[in-house]
Amino acid sequence: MANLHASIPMETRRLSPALIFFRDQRKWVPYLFVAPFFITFAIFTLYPIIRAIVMGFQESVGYSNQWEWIGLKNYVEALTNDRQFAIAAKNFVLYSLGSLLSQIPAGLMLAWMLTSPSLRFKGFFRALFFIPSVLPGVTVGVIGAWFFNETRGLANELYLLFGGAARIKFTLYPEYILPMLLTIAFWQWMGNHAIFFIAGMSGIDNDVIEASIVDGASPWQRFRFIVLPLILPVIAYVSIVITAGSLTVYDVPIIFLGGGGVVGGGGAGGQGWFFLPWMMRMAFDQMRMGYASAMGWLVFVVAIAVTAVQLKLFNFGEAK
Amino acid sequence: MSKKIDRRKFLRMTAASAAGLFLASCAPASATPQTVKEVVTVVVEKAGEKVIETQVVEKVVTATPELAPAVKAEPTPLLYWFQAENHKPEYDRRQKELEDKFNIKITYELLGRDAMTKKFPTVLMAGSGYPDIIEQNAEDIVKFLKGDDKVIPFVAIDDFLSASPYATDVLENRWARYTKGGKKYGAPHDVHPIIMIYNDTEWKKFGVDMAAVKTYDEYLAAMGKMEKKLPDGSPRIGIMDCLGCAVFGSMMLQKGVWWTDANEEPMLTNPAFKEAVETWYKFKSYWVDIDWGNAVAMMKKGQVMTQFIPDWFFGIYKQGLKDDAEFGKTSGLRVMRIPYFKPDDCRTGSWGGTAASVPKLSKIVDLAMKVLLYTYFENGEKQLEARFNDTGILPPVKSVWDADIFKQPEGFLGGTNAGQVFIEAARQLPKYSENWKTALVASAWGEQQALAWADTIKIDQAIQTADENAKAEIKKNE
Repeated sequence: MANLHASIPMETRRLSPALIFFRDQRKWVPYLFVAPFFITFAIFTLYPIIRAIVMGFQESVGYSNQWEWIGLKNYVEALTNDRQFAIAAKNFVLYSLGSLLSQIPAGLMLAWMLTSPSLRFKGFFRALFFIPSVLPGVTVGVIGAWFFNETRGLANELYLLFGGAARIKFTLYPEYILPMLLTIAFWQWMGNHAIFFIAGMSGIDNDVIEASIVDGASPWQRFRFIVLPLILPVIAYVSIVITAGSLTVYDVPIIFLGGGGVVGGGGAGGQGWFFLPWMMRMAFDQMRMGYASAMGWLVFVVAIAVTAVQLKLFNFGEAK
Repeated sequence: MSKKIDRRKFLRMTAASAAGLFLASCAPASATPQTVKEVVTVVVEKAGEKVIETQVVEKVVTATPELAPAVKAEPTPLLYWFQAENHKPEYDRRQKELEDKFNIKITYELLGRDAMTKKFPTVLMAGSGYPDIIEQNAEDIVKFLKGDDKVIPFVAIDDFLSASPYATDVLENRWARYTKGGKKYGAPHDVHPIIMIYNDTEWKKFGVDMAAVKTYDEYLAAMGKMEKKLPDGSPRIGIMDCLGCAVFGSMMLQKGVWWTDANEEPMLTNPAFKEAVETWYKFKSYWVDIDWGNAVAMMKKGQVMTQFIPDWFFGIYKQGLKDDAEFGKTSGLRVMRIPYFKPDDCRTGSWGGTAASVPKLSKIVDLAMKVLLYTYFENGEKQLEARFNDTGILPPVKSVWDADIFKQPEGFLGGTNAGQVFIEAARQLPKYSENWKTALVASAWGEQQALAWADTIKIDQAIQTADENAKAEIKKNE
């Protein structure tokens, strides 16, 4: 049989890799299918992230899209010359500690009660405690403002009931800012955490519980030595969520402390700043988008660091 | 060969002739040229930089006789952003009027304040999606008054105003707030003069004729005669206001100070500022913070005895009480001018405000400016009187104030009139300057004021700390 390729010069018979690639549909068609996701990801996620990183090293000129490169100046200013940023950092630490110490134990206790065999209408009570967590932040802020209202708020009524001398205008005192916000957060999120703990508790093998009962363990011993260790991954998750939430507190402080009514934007004595309200103020009141971006990245680093510490403390969520 | 026209050719020629006749009939009739003056924006190069300037030019236009069939140009799209929901009825009502008059297609976008303060800077940076007219809260507009005219993103209104019929009719002092470097960047929608509403029936029970009270000392003395509890045991309040709103703001203006002066410097350390603070703090034991949802009911009941209110708050009272005929028969609510320190003080202040501007990015600056000035200041068809009727907001156009609508009795005020009281107050409103530093100064004071009001710190310390903080913030953000 004649060599069919004999008349074709050798160099034309050696095909380029690209040609080889595109000649075989099975090689390039899959990329077409995943391209929409990656294009969307690149435009709406990757580009904004890269742009925000670059913005942290720039400052906007006027109100147009002109930028001036200023290097690390924004980061240095945030860390060394920003009173409100420092207050926000302090408030984050105290708020997250307060939330962890109040919401987790209360959530566990509530979950334990809501899984009690003797409790009737479990579904109703679970929904009741869960509802505050699905309310919009502004609504929660307004409810909180009403609760602490001087003339008709429940807090003052309870205060007078338990022997208080006179009504208190809570928003005038810096020492009440965090307790007020923690109270509102407790009401808003305790039920939500309890639902997660209930889910964790429901996953515990009943045989283990029954075996402990047979061995004579008290309810507290069952809870302390069996349930708690087995739902440690859930506790780890909830604590990470609480901490992340503490970093992004926005609506409630704005409703309580913002505006030009009773107090300035930072509350009494300017002690009520949190990261997001301050960043928003810098970005959209003072048009310092680059500075706000730099603060945002600092907050991101804090979020990563705190999450890493928590995961380490909880042994990466491994149940013991 | 004979030149006969066949049927096909005949039909073609007939169709072409008909088309030609039709086109000829569409041509405009002969017209008369006219010379008109127009304000236009041009981009000129000065010192190597491009700047936007307004110029008055003469143009020769051809006025088409009315009877000639006119081919109307496509309406020009115009995007109008606003945030005050109570302006919506007026804009809905006047949309057709504006579209017919200016041959525009208006799109009104109602944005929440928070949304607008974020969206507007974003569209400025993006260079797209911007409105042709933006109506903002006054405090938000003045934040853009930073830097010189090249940087400020709004077109200066001055030349357009001079070329309009409204130049001398708008309350002059109301422009100062939106003026920088001698140029006006926002057109005021309102005046918001402050008057006092009080419950005369309840005051008379304590032997006080509030109408006779003139000075703050007399006002304070009247508070002292009031019983601090209602018969049902609930607290009675002498004055309802937020700490830094109507009363304190009015006292500042009466003392001749504001947050920042005309040179953009904080005025916290001005001795007159401290005098205003000390006077306001004397009312501490009679004060309660504004209860937005219940203020009207509390005043009606006599639980709140007085309140300093601007016209928009009066609109809230009107909305709540105008249909209450029973209450109207025996209503003891009255309005009067606020007290003063000295007889020659202005007996008013101002709280809040809305203003509109045309961004420089707009591609139809001339047209947008005409629409803006017309919307805000034209009263040819009693548009501004309708605004007062709907919202209780006093327009800043002096010639309108003679209208009968401002002399109407109010049932819930026992048949007395509020419009004339607002107008008297508006005529006395002093000038005050604001800029991007104003909010920083006011906010710094607000933080310290809370501590001073709670007696945690002394007034002097509050002023000093607020001044230091304000100046640090200004330096940081310059």
